[in-house]
Amino acid sequence: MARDSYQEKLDSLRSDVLYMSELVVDRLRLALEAMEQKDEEAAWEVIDGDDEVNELYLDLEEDCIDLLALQQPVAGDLRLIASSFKITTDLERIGDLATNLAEYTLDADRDMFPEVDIQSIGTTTIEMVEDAMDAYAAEDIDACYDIADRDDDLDEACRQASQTVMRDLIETEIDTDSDDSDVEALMNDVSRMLLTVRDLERVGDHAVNVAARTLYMVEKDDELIY
Amino acid sequence: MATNTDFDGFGRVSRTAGTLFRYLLLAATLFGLVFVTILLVYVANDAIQPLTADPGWHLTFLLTLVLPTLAASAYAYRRGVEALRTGVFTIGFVVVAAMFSGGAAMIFVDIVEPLTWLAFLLALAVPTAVTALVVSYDHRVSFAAQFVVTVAVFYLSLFGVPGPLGSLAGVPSLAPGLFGFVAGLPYAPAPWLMLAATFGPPAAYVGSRFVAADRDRRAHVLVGAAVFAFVVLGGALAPFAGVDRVPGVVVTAVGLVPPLVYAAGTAANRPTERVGLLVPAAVVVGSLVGAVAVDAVGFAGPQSWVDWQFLTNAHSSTAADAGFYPAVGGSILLMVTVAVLAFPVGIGAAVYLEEYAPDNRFTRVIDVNISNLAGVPSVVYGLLGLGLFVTYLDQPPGTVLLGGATLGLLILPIVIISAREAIRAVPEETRAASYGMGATKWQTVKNVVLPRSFSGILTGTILALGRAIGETAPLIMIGAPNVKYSLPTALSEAVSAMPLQVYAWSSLYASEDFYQKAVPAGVVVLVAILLAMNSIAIVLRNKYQSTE
Amino acid sequence: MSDNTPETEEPARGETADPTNDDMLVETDVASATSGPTPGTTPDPIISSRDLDVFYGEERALDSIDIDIPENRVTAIIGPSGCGKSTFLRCINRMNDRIDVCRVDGELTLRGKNVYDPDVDPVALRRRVGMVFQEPNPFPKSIYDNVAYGLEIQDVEGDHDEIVEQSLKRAALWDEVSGRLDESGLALSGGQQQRLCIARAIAPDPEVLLMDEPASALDPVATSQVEDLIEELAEDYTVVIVTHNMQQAARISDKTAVFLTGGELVEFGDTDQIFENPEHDRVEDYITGKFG
Repeated sequence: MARDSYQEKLDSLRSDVLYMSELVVDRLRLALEAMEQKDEEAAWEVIDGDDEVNELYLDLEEDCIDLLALQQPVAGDLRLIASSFKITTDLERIGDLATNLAEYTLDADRDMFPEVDIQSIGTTTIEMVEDAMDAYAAEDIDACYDIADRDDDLDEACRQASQTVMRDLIETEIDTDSDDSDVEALMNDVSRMLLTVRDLERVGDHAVNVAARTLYMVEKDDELIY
Repeated sequence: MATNTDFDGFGRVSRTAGTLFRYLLLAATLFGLVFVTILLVYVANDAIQPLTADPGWHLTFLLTLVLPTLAASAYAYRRGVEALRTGVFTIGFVVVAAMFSGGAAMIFVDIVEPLTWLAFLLALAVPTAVTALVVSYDHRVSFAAQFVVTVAVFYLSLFGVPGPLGSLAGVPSLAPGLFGFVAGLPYAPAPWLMLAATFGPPAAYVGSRFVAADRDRRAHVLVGAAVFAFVVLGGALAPFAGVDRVPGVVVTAVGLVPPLVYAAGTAANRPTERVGLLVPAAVVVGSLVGAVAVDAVGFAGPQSWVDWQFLTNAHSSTAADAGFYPAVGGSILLMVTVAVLAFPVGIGAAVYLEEYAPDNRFTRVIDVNISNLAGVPSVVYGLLGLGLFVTYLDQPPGTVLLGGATLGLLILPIVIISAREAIRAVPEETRAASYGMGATKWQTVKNVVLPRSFSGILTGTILALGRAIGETAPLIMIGAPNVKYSLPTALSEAVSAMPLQVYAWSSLYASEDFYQKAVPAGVVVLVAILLAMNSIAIVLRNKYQSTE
Repeated sequence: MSDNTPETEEPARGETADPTNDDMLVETDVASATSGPTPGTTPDPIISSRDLDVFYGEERALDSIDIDIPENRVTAIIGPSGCGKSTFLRCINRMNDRIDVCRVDGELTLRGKNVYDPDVDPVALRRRVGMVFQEPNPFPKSIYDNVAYGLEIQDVEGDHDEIVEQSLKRAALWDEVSGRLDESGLALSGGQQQRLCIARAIAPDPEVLLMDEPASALDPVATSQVEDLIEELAEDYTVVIVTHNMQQAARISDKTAVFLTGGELVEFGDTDQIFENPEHDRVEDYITGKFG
């Protein structure tokens, strides 16, 4: 096969993207654990680790630019590079969202709403991200469609979680002799919860983006990109 | 290691084999050159006898000719090599033009009547004009019609009604054609005036184009008029130089005008090379001054055998009086005949074989055989001429036509081969470009191939002619007379030639005197003419090569 | 249309190869910067071939070529060495006739007329189809005579001076040579010589312009001048260009034909489709450099 070093560069781009995804997924998992365990140390680890994710993102961006400028890629190779470029952006955003979750954990000073199963939602999103990256690695377009479908379920679960939170809020009686600080604490909990749900939903959306870009990469089909 | 401080350099690679080879080749080259030079020097010495002149004669010319010329050359070289080259070229040009003019003068003095010449030109000019007119109506008249009209007009003009075709059929001659008419006119202007009228206009045109090149119309007209006047004056004033008017006109038009036009053109249009003209000026002025001085003081020049008398006398049994004139004239006539016979056939064959002939076994056989024919000894061609023309076709032996035909056959393979080389040298891309534009084969050959290969063809043919001029054996075989006392005036007259005359002197009239005097003189003249012809070929080739 | 050679490419005449062309998201498409008239509307074909086979003696040079080249567009023909690109080009103006061992079977039509019909005069054909070669090959004549050559041999009526000037202007050479039309064409630089050859080819106003690797002998600056020129020329002529430089084909052509070893036309389609998402793996392998 000709252009050996070029092929190697493409392969290493692919594996670097996969490595970034593993990094990001670890962060997300750690953030969720921190939230469950109220582990402040873990939360700080997530927040500090965001720099690493950002640097990796910039490196990969530069690798893509280099490949475009120096190797004149066409057809499948070009789509690989273009898609990888976009996928790393989505991964970086997932990393930021994981950081958000860690920050919520640090801010929380009492238990979150137990009826809302954040861990279950979080696990679902993690699975979606991992599956999307598997689809990317294997160029499996059926999996891509599958992930898009699962996002609908995720959105429903998030919507229900938000509704639960809102209902709890409304049903919580606020005594006139409740502390202002109590009310404030309640407000903070609610907003944190809503944000958490929203951020997890966004993770799911980013996973769908990854699947969409993968579909474009394999088939040049932009159906899932919206 | 990069920081090795004991670096001894790169070492040396042995070149002994190459050096040895190089010097061996040099020796081989010099060997041939040296021997030829020695031979020529010997012969020239015998012919010109420079050592018999007074020392004072040598001294005078050293002072008036050699030293000034060297000084001028050095000065020109300092100003630029191009200038020197131009100067040397001009000198060569003068010499060659002088030779040509001598030959041309010979033709008009002894062979062709000026009136006949004028009649011939007119008889060609009129049909040519008619042809041009017909061709300009290219669109409306078919090619076949054009062709027929052209041939008819030429035939009528040259031969009249009904001409040689008629005489074959037994029809008596009715009207003479333009040629016969003019040639038979009882009253005509003076011969020299007629020659001036035919040589003047072309000389004026060439002169005006070259000298007034980019300038306006007025300059062109002025130069042209000046040249024409010069030619007429040359004829008018000739008697004062001791020459008849007819040769005077010819020598002026052919021998003086071209170098002067070249010098004037260089001076006017190429200022960087102007300086080089000092060299020929030094040569000319120096020679004249030297000649006058030597005459005045009374130094005796060399007792050269190559003198005016040698060049204008016919053969005589006393060596001292023997002359080369009929031989030179005969050679010239033979060359003209050979050119007319061999060049169209040879070049045409080359064009056909290169452009039109298919590539099959038959044509390959022809290829091989043409090369073989080029190597056939010239004696065999003489035998061929004898057998074919004299015995079989019952022609009188040793005539101009016969000699020309035989020599033409001799150089035909050479002409074909060199023309083919020149045509083959036209790159295939150029041909492809022409065909790609929708040109027919004929258009491509006419517009692209022939112009591009023209200089190569010309060089080859001139060199072939140079070969023909020196051939003796075929002429002997066809019975050309060893000695002729006058120039032939018709194609059917017997002719001698330079090499033949030299052969005769060295074998039939072999005596001390002839060996030592006439033979070297003849050889010198023959070699000089050959060198002149070859130098023309070389100049042409260089000029065209530099434009590619 | 009945197509029994599965490798060929072009869908029904008149439609584009990619139906979603107009809706395409072009985000990081480096190769689709092609210019030219409205992408997505392919005009009628001017040159078509059906089952075109070419042999040099016993050796097959082209294998059942079916292709429809549209009018007033730049069509590029790419492929590895020896795949028959130049052979195909030379079939269009029958320059292959000049090669004795070349044998052509099948049909190749220009405006519906098969150029290999016995009653077709190749010389007349070449007057409607101009050709520019890889090595610039101006005649050893003046610049004016070079451009006017076609006018001379084809007896074109009209003011030759005018036509020569127009051609040189079209070839983007007029400004550089207008004052020295008498100079020899060989005195120009390589890029100028090639533009002179282009001017010479377009002077007699052919319908089709065939170009066989016209910029491969030129330096980058001259190459881009010639490429700009080709894009402009497509407005008036149909341009078919053979090139081994894929980036050049990607830059300047509207449609691309990919010939692969064996003289096979493997794919023919819009340039952006060929370079972004070709249908055949062999084409993808070739253009990404994995072989060839």
